[in-house]
Amino acid sequence: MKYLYTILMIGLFACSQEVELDEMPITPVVVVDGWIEHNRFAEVFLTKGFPVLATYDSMFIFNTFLNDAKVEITDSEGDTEILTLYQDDKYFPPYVYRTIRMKGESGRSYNLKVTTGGQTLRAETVIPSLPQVTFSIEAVGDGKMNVLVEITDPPGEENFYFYRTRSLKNSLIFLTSMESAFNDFSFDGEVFLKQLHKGVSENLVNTIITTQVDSLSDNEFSINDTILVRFSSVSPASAGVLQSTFLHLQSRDNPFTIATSQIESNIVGGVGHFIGLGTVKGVVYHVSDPGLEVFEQNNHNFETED
Amino acid sequence: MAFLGSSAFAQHDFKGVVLDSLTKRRIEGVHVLVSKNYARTTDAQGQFTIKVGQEFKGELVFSHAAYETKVVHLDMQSPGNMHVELTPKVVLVDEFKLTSNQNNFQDNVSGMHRLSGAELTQQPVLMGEQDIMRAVIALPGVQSVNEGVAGLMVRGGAAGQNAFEFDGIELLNPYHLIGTFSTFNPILTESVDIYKGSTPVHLSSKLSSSIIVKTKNKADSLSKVNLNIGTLSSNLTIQGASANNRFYYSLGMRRTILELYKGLSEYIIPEKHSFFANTSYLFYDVNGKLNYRFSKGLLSLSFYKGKDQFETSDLTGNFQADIEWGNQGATLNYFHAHNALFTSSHSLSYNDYGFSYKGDVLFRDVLFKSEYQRYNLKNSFNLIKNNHDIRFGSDLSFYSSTPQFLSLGIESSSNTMNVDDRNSSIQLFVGDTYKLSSCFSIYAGAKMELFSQFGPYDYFGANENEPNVNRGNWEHVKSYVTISPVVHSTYLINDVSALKASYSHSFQNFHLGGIATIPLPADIWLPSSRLIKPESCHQLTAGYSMKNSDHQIEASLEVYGRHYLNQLIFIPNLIASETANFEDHLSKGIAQSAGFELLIKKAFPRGNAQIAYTYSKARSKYLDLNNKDWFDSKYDRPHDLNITLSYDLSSRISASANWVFASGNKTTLPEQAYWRMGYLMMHNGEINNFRYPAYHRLDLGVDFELKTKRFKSSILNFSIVNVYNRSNPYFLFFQSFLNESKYQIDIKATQVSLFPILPSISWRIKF
Repeated sequence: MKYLYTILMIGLFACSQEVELDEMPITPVVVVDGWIEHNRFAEVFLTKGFPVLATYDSMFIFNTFLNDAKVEITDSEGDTEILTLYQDDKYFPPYVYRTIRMKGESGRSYNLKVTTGGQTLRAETVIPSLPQVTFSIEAVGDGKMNVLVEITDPPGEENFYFYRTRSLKNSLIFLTSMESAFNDFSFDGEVFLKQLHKGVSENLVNTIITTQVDSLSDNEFSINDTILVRFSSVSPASAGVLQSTFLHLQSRDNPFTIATSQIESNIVGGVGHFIGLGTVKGVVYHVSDPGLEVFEQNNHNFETED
Repeated sequence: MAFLGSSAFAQHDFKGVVLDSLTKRRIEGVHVLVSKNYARTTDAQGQFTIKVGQEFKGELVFSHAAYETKVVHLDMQSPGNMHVELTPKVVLVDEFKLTSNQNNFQDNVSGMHRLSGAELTQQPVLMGEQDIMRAVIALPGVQSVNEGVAGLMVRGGAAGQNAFEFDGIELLNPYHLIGTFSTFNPILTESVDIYKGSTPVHLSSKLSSSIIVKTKNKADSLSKVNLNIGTLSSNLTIQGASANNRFYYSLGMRRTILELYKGLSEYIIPEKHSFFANTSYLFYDVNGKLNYRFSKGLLSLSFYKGKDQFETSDLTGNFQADIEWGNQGATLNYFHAHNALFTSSHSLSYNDYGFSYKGDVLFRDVLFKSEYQRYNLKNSFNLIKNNHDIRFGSDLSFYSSTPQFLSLGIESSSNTMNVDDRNSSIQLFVGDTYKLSSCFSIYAGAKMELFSQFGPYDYFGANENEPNVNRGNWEHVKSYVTISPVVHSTYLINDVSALKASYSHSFQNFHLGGIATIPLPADIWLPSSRLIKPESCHQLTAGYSMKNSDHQIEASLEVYGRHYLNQLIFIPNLIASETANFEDHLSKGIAQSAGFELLIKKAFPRGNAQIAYTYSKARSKYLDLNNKDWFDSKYDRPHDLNITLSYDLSSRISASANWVFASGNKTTLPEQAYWRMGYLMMHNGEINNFRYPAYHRLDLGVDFELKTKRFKSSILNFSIVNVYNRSNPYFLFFQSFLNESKYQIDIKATQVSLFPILPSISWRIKF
């Protein structure tokens, strides 16, 4: 019987294996990763899809970037600008299309047009009014702190929020967490205190370029760190795209995913997003005097740091 | 003797004839009791003669196994030629009756199979556990979604379009071990009826099939206690009856013994390699029956309870899941024979099904629950008159269900959804089997259903064209009236062959919304509602069947076509303004399937062979998928071949083999990957864009009957499932790996197979 039990258990262990599948022929999709933020230049990253089953080295990733596109943005006032391709080593592939004149403005809508490889992609977004927020920290011992945001939510309307954080000690860029997009269903019209999460370590590309690994859990920050926060209001359509993206990321490698799930996109002719952000910026850090545990907000220009 | 002694000198002859009160035919073999020492039996002409004394005055008792006993007073004034009529006994089996029809095609229902207890256990045993559903999926037109027996696909229908009834108790997702076994206890099972659509209207049904499992109604004459000790679970059953056979009881209990392996594995397998280190599994089921027979009735109480508990996590801690599901229910039934031609059945039943998933995905708590409850009162009548066999009645149900309770465990409540439904169903049905001639009969039936939705109900309108809809508790929301006709006809070509044809249009008001890429009990059941119409199916069949008892061969060929309407598929809709309405997460569509089924059975002096082949195509079209174009259904599986052999090697050793070959199912795999926001993401492309490799497997089993004085029967079974170790995919998924060197990422396809080569041993004993 012992022999049989052993066979049974070996059988159970052997039930999962890597397999070789024939690559499915694809027509690569054009992927837009675009943002226009209040009082900030627009940024658009353009890449293309690639076959799923492959080993991707730096050259392969590099070649997914589309550097031959014409990217232009028109705002609701009729102003148009063709974006300029920049090299920015904070990202990989290190290229980004930026406006050099047009900055986002709360209340305006923006149309994106991308022409590449004979395809034309279009998207539309709006920058909502800025959220009413204040930032603070809470020391929790063991050299850790929480970063908090107090939201004064306008009553009687659906509001959607999105935030990113950047640890000056650990990251060159702002990161999103899996909880970065949320709505006001549970605190409509109220003052709501929310604890912020930092970017997750699953972020593959950012893990590669992050110079220091943070061992704290995803809702804790080092008390010796300085945290930059971009807290934004987003339109309902943008929120749907963001929530869909985060849901996908949480279930990407999970076989129990929903068969028909597809990431929401607001790009016509491609996939991805072009999202307007009504952003309020903040800088939070801890000082030893208990009365001064906060922040510089809005008046700190860290434009060049991110 | 006193009677005979006192009247020995002067005797008087009484003659008589005994007739069937219905057919007026003379009855042979009727026992005519005059006194405890004097009796006679009627001859082939139903006649009898008794001699009694001149002063006799008493009672004659007429008895026969097939007739109600009758007592007749007799004295010297009684006529010399008696005329006695006996009433046939009614067979107390409520859903079918024994008939005197001598042809081989007693059932007018095309696409129907009845498997007896013996047939159900002829398949090789999986992990020491017999399973009646393995015999069911060996039939043509019936396929399992994949490994195991979960998610039956019948004639291209979806897994949620099969009705399972266990002694009158409705069961949903009746599977153990993620679909590896069915929940039906094989030792207590008497028979299984499978209707592949076009189910007679008095029976429970869903669009695709009805699978009606009945347990035994009388005790095994050999033993009261059966024990099956397998490598996965153990099964104990107890049966018994009172001395007069009026009272019968049965109780069956099964439970996994995987804890033993878990304990054992700690000494054999390093923790990092051990399946059990981060996984535990428990399943059990208990079912039973209490019967009490009256002179003209049968009162029975059946119950069932089963549950699976599965906990697993990955070694990185990124994924943890605690999954539970199970059914429970009970039915109280009273069957009454008003006379031999008119019977009725009245049942009151309750059943519920629950599923819950508690997980931790990337440090986020996820709780998903789905629940379903049904209360049912059914009254059914059966009247036989002339050449008509009429069934009519009513079926009333109340449903309380929670298709989805979902909490993502985030501070905001925006990701918590809770949907409660209350529904009622009123059904009236009538059906008649009419024998027009000796070779042609027809069944026609219709079922009318009023299905209603009641509050609480809240729909949050997206705009002025779709305003908010709010209903309070028990406030009427929506009703649907449907009429389901069913017609079957049978034409006997001769004594051994027949032609059959059928048409039906059936409706289903509870829908299974599949949410996973693999078949799981996680799929949710939801009722028809204001925005979800009843799904329906037209089915047309035609077939030829032959059964030659002389040559011990049986064959059938049947073609079918189906057209489904109002099909549903679950699509998570994350547009913020629509997330509040559960009904907005479903896409509507249509589907079609067609194919033919071939079944050949041959009995040999020492064994049996069965070949079942099905060719079938199934396709679907949905408003929100694949640009509204037709695409292969998940259940599209063109070829399915199943060969079963059994052979008695000796009086004590018997062997069985089963080989299955089937086209792979369709599934949805990511088509391409891309970068966005610094993350790797998958692009699905079209749904059902990938067909799994073909599925095939050989299973062998041998029964050794051991000599024993301690037990009434002792059988050792050795089985090997997947003899040539075919890695059939249970599901596929992609995983991404960050390599140690910078800028290198691998995405690899991982296949999960349930059964490698899997030998097992089990011991079946009877006390």
